[in-house]
Amino acid sequence: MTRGPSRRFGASWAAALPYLWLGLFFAFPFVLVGKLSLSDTALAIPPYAPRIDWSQGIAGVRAFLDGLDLETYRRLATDSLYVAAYGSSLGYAATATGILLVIGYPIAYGISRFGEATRSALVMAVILPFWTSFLIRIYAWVAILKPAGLLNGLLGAVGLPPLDIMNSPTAVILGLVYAYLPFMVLPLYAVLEKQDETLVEAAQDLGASRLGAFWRVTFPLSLPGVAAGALLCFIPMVGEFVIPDLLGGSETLMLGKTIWTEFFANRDWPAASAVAIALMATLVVPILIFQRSQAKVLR
Amino acid sequence: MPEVILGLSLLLLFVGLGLPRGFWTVTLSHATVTMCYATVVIQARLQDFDLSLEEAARDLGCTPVEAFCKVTLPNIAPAVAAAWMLAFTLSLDDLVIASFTSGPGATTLPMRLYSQVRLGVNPEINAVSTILVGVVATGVIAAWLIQRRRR
Repeated sequence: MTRGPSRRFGASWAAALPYLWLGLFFAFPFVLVGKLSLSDTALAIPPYAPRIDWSQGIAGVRAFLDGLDLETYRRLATDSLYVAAYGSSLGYAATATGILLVIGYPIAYGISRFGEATRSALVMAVILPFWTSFLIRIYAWVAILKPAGLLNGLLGAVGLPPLDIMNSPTAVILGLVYAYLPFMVLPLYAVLEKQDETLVEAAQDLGASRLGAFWRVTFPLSLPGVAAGALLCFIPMVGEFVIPDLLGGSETLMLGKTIWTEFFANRDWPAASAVAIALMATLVVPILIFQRSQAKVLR
Repeated sequence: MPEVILGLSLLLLFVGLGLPRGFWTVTLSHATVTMCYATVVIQARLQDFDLSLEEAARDLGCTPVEAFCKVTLPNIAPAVAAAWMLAFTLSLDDLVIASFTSGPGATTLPMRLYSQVRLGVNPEINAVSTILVGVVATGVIAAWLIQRRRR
């Protein structure tokens, strides 16, 4: 059957609507953030100088463009606090992603070897934490890790010295690993579950040991899932706010927290915008790689 | 995309448009953010959906809108419901975007929890947490039981 032109017309309109919405509420705001990051700091609420004077036409726009400068970025690059926050954000996220891969892969692999019914129950168990408030789960970690908390109570009970990890990088990484584990396990599981088991059997028939078959067949085939899982965790972790704020105390710096502080505490909107742009610029490449690897996983 | 960036950029949009911040700005922001998740869920269902069904409805004299409402929509209804649930949960649980885009008089539960949690451990939050965990656990168990009975 051929589709009538009216249908195609209607369908393209229906498809355009979400794009319009995303353009207005997603793309356009980024332009605003970029503009603000180039504006001068003022201690009041906007408008920030410069503004576009539309009544003067092209000259107004040109005057506006001349008014923009990289002053805020210069300030950020020379302030060791921002540089440190940038470095430690990437460091924490990379460390946590590495740990997640080591923990998540065996979990996903294990789940994918079970029968149908057990598998769906186990996947359900992985997703279950999502049903509880994220804040409350992190808050629970505060209760576990604080100096007089559960962990130290347990350690004391078995006669070990107490650990002081609350408000330390260790606590932040622990929180990140905990919170993002499902995001690592699910893509890995999706890839491993689809894998044809006869491939491993063939490798073993041809003389590979079980470990050899895993390393030379299963693992290479699961690499798209590894990439998807790692980036799905890494990208949001770099900008994470709640975990470093609640578990890391005042000493751990992360970019998400820096943006928050600049915005809410210091009311320095251009600085917050500039940090956001720097964060975005860092994440563009991972996001693009992620989209490609995701396409591979779905295929 | 990190939430902090989304929250900040949406706020700048609302300030630029001169919208008063409150219930509607938070709702709009959450709709924008959860839309991607909802799309993924519904799209997965649509991939399995046989387009020839819709075409058959057209052949039998339905207008495109009728065909969509009578054939496509009932078929993908479970996915739409699932997407709604997902968006609802995400919105209910969000702190960062809500904090950026809300104004006076529109404090969400996570915002309130967060401001309490920052002050330290206190019994009130423990109580709220227990209630929330209890409600969720009951809901999950109930859903599981219903599903089992249907089979």
